[in-house]
Amino acid sequence: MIELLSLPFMQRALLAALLSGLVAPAIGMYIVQRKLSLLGDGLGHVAIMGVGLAFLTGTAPLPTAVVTCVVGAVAVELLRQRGTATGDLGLAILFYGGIASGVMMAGIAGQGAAGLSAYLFGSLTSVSTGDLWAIGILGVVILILTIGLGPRLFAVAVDEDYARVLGIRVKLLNLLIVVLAAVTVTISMRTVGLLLISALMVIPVATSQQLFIGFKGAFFGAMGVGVLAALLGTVGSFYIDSATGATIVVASIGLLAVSWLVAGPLRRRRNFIPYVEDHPHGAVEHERAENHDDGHAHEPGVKVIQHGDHVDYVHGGHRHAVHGDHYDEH
Amino acid sequence: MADNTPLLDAQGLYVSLGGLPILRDVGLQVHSGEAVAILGGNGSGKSTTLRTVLGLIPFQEGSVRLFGTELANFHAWDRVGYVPQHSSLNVSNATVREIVSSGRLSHHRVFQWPSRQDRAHVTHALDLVGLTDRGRWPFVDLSGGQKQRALIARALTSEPELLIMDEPLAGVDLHSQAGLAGLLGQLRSDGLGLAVVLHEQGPMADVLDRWVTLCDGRIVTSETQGATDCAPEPAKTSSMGWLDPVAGVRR
Ligand SMILES: Nc1ncnc2c1ncn2[C@@H]1O[C@H](COP(=O)(O)OP(=O)(O)O)[C@@H](O)[C@H]1O
Ligand SMILES: [Mg+2]
Ligand SMILES: [Zn+2]
Ligand SMILES: [Zn+2]
Ligand SMILES: [Zn+2]
Ligand SMILES: [Zn+2]
Repeated sequence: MIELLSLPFMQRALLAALLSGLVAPAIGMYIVQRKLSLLGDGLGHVAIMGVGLAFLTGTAPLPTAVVTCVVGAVAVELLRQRGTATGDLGLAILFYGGIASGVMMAGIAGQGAAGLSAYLFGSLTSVSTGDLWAIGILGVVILILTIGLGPRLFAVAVDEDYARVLGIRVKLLNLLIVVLAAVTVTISMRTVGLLLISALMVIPVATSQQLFIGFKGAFFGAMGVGVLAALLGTVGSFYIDSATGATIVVASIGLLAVSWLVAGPLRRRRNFIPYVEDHPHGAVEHERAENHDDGHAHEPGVKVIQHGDHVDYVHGGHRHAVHGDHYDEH
Repeated sequence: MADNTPLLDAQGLYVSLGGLPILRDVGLQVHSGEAVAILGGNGSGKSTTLRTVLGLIPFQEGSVRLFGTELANFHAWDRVGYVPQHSSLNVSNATVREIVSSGRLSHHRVFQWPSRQDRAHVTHALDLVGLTDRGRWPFVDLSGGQKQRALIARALTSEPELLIMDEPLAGVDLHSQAGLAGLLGQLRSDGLGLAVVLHEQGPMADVLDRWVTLCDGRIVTSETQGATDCAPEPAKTSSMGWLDPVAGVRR
């Protein structure tokens, strides 16, 4: 590990990957909430056109791809807001036209599939110092916007109409999310790769939602999971000599599996409902619930179910119901 | 602003959606300290009326003024509260508090996060609707009636002067309905203006000052009533006997 950190290219790759691990799930939270999970993938295709264009014109790939992808993202969102059948066709043309023209331009420039694949699946040796600066600055801007505008972006993702009545500029924020997603995709192309980056937007979010209750908890949790996946994947790809992005995505899927193992039994216990016969509540025979004399309010995670004319609380394999000033055991 | 300026003044609204006329010559006025009910059958245009006066649906003719300002120039959204009809929220695992907190955003500058004061407002709103101990729960785990109460809390937490509600009591149990009606009555005496779509007046009857009835996108009056095939049935109130929905006053 020490030996690995003394290699300058490895330091750059690790920093770039950790930044992607932080940023991709942050924007991914809003993308998942708005059910646009495939958007990141489409934007990755558009960015391939930017890379091809850079090969052809001899410009630096990262800035060219950022500009191309942001322009594509604005077009995507405008088509989506129109929401027509032509809009749908427009998206398909943009996405597949992006990847096709990118591969074509790379071929004409004499780079072929081999030159592109470092951008499609990520490669440790490809992050230059200049790239790192650009990735760092853009990453920080994305973090400031996704966290600073968090409450508003959340409100828009939850309920657009209500957000409008709060005076929030809904269309502008929707556009911002797509543009930030485009920038995230492109700054991740050296490490995670354009074909895989949307996985890092979506999978850590799913992992975090297994583990944390609440949007804020899941938001910061997803960033933590993303960083961990990026770290595991980058180091792993060094030792087993695999494509960095592919290794990062496999690592994030591994973390998702672990979160299922952890959260599964927890949720099963929470959802377990002991059977009771129907009864009018407060019927003659009842037994006071244990440990409820302090009139404790039921904690989050305690299951509530409607039971005839009253509500039952389920926890620890017991069903409790309010009866006057105390809880009854069922 | 003169004291008698209505909080909401909508006149002669014509709205069409997908090429079909939905509202025809609909008007609605709400003053401070006044509760106005909008009644009518399914599809009569009640929700469309509310969404139009809030600027969520464009209108072809007519005018809407909020607090004396043309809708297009109106920006003081912190004075308006809205409870949408059985709104489908994209919540995944957001907590009740997080949902209710978003009601405070109309008071916030763009990069502002909730403050301690905001949290106190949210706690208060949860207390008002009887969800005190549900704040940290995932919103999706609430029952239908509890969700509806949470959405009312979300609207109340910004302390609006005008509250626009679309069937706010749907799915709420009778006991809670009475509590909410009492709460709204209290707020109304403190000067809140209320426009509320109701299926039946139920426990709200004592709170209401006026009601308008929509039928097929028009306001039903004594003149038009005969021309339509959906003359409203009279609604029963809890204490005052029968209401005449056409005249819009207590007999
Ligand atoms: N987006 C829409 N496009 C076309 N017609 C609509 C749309 N929304 C509502 N309508 C129609 O407008 C009429 C009034 O709807 P609405 O205002 O929701 O009725 P209410 O709330 O009184 O039940 C209905 O006939 C409905 O089918
Ligand atoms: Mg309706
Ligand atoms: Zn019970
Ligand atoms: Zn027990
Ligand atoms: Zn209990
Ligand atoms: Zn008892």
